Amino acid sequence: MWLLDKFLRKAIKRGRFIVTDHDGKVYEYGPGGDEEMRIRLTHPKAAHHIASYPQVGAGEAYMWGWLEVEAPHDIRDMVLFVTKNTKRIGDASLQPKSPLKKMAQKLIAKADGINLKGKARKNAEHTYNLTRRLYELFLDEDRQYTMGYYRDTSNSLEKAQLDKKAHIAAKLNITPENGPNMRVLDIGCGWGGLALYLHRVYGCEVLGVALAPDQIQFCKERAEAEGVADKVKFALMDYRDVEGSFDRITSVGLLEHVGTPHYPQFFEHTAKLLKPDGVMFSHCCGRAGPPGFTDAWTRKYIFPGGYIPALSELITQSEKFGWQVMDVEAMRFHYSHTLEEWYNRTVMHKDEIVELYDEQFYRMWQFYLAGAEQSFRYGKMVNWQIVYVKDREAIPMTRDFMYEESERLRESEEPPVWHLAQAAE
Amino acid sequence: MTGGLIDKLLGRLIRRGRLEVTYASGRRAVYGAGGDGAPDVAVRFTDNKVPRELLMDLALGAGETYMDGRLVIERGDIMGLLSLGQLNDRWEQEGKLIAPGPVAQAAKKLVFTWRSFNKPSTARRNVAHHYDIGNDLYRLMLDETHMQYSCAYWPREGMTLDEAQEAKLAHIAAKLALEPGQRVLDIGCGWGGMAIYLARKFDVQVLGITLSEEQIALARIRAEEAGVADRVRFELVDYRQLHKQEEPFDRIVSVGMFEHVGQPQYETFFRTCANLLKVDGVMLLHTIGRMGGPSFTDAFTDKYIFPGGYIPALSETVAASEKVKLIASDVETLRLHYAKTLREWYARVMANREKIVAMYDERFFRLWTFYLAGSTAAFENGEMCNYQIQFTRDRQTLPFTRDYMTATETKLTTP
Repeated sequence: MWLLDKFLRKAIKRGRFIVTDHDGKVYEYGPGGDEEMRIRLTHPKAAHHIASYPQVGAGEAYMWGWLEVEAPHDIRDMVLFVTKNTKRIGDASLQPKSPLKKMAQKLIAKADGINLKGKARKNAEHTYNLTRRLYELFLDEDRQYTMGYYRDTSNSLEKAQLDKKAHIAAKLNITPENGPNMRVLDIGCGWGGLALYLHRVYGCEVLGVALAPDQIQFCKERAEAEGVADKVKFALMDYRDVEGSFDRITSVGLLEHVGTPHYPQFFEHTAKLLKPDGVMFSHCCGRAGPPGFTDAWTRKYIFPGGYIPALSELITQSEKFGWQVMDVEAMRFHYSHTLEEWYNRTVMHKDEIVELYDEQFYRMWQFYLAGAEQSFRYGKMVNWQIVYVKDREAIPMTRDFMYEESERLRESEEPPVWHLAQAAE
Repeated sequence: MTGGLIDKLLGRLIRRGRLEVTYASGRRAVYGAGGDGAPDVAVRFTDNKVPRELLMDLALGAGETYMDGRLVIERGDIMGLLSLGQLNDRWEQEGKLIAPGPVAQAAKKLVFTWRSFNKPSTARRNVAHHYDIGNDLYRLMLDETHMQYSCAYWPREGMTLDEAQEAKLAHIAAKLALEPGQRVLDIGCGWGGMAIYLARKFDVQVLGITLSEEQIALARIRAEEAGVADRVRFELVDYRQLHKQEEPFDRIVSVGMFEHVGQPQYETFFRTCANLLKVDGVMLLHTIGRMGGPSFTDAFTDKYIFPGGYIPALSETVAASEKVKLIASDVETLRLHYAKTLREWYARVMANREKIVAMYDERFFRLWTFYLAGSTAAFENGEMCNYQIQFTRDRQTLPFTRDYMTATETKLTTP
């Protein structure tokens, strides 16, 4: 316990954190105050494991049932409590300090970021071939597995996701008039929501590609059901295998999986695919600070091969391939609100998720969502929305078109109702 | 020999518009068919060294031979000549015009030096040294109302330069998210246009700093005239020395100054700014930028216009700001706005030809017009653009949508 004890003594500066070890001994940290958090360690190795492997230890201990959070709190409360104290994402205060260890971690993170085509598929499957049912249980009605755009924090997740799509569409500089003549490529199409939306509001033809078979299958079913399968197509393929030419390219929540070593390929291949007067839009999680590396927990359990880029890392590469960055919007806190809602919906469906998988998986999922939320709430994570062109005359002189179109689209449609909302109540 | 080489190169390069060259030998050659709306320009080389100088370094060679009256424009003007060149070497079409082969090496160099001919910006140090360039030239060239020596903002057709410069000030002010009572630092304040505007429109105190005594003197007079002298201060001080005398500011604005910082100083610049900014502060950096990756300053600009200056790529700028934890919360790339601004300046300079020649001399007039024309071409078809980057230190600082920007801007620009 002494190593964990040492860490907690240093880390907890607000509220009160009470740890009951497996042997019944009670340790107390922090000056006290309104917030009090109690956890129990149920396994003799728990404290040692958490302290020795700061990046994965707590997550694993929780997953394995070695760490229990006492009511009325839960794991999300604990994660937010601890990180609010340390005020940094897990790779700073919670990180081993020795330079050697740091370097080793960096190397492993780097090697892990190399996504060969086969491995890229495996990684995507790792995350997403969890059945569609799981995503139905915690995502919004349109199954957007990326940040919602919370113009008002009291908005529903469905509204935030609809506003997000409107915001993205507005940045593409398409109009209902020229839309029907356009071809759009959506790289990393997920469950198909954006592709279907773009067709719905602009009449454009869309090709969505992704590496998760169940996503593509689901996307195709949706296009069929909406009667637009001739205009909105989906294919299970690596974007590097896409050919042809497109008026617009979107990628939302994709670059996190591409990995830094592959940015040149991404910008080179998309530059080939986009027409000279085209527009490319990319939306991804980003780190507000300088380049870093992916924490071990996320690498091991959540997104193998993933990396959250600093703005400079993206632009250094895009500049090399003739891309002109037109607009960057750093979206702050929208993701933490989104993740909070995903967490709530996950907890709402605990029984079914445990039945689908097992208790350990459910706990891993909880910890992942809570950890991600804290990194957007207290850490240095943001989302980059970047508009790229190849010709400076491809978009209007000012941003007014974005604002006007975003507003028009937001007001043109009511958000859907989550079909599980009733059941949950 | 060089005559033959330049002949080949121009033959390959000029695909749009028309260029007629009379060589010193009397030989006349025509490149391009013309008649397509692109410029049609005729030049004469007065001696046979001109082609070699052009080949050595196109921007420097063209600038010097034009300045010296050895490259004479017989039809059209310098704006037309430089636009014609850049139009035939659009940055967007990189690598497509020049076929590989023996000529390609020379061509690549030619095109490269052409392309890297940048930008306007304060021609202060060197030009001032040689010509004692004063405020008078800028008064003749810039907008009267705000005396802005940076890119204007042209959201509507048919705006005057004065209107577009005021629109620029409003555009920037909106991104600063100003609150009553705040202290604002303007790094590189020029003749005080931004500082005075902010003080007039908002209940804020502004400190403007510059290294030019002439600018400070005029800025102070202009602040008096605008009736805001009680809330606007101007000081002749290097931004790196400011922390010794000032508390951190709520807002920092810097327009057209970063071009003078130079790449090796970027980290120092951002660290200094971060330290001068309160934790919940906002900074807006407005700078000319290059759209490609990091590069270097062309020889003409370095020699005559701005020694030590460098136009940044976005990547190197944010790579430096990230290191000191300044968050790039918003980036807007203004394209073509500077070209429109420069064409206005050029027109005013041309209209005041007699006065300027009287103030300086013919050679200076040609230097100045070459610089304006080359910059225009660089913004229209070369690599130049203008970045507006908003920075915060804390992600909580600003509202979570851009609505505040549009709302403030509308309020400022609606009569």
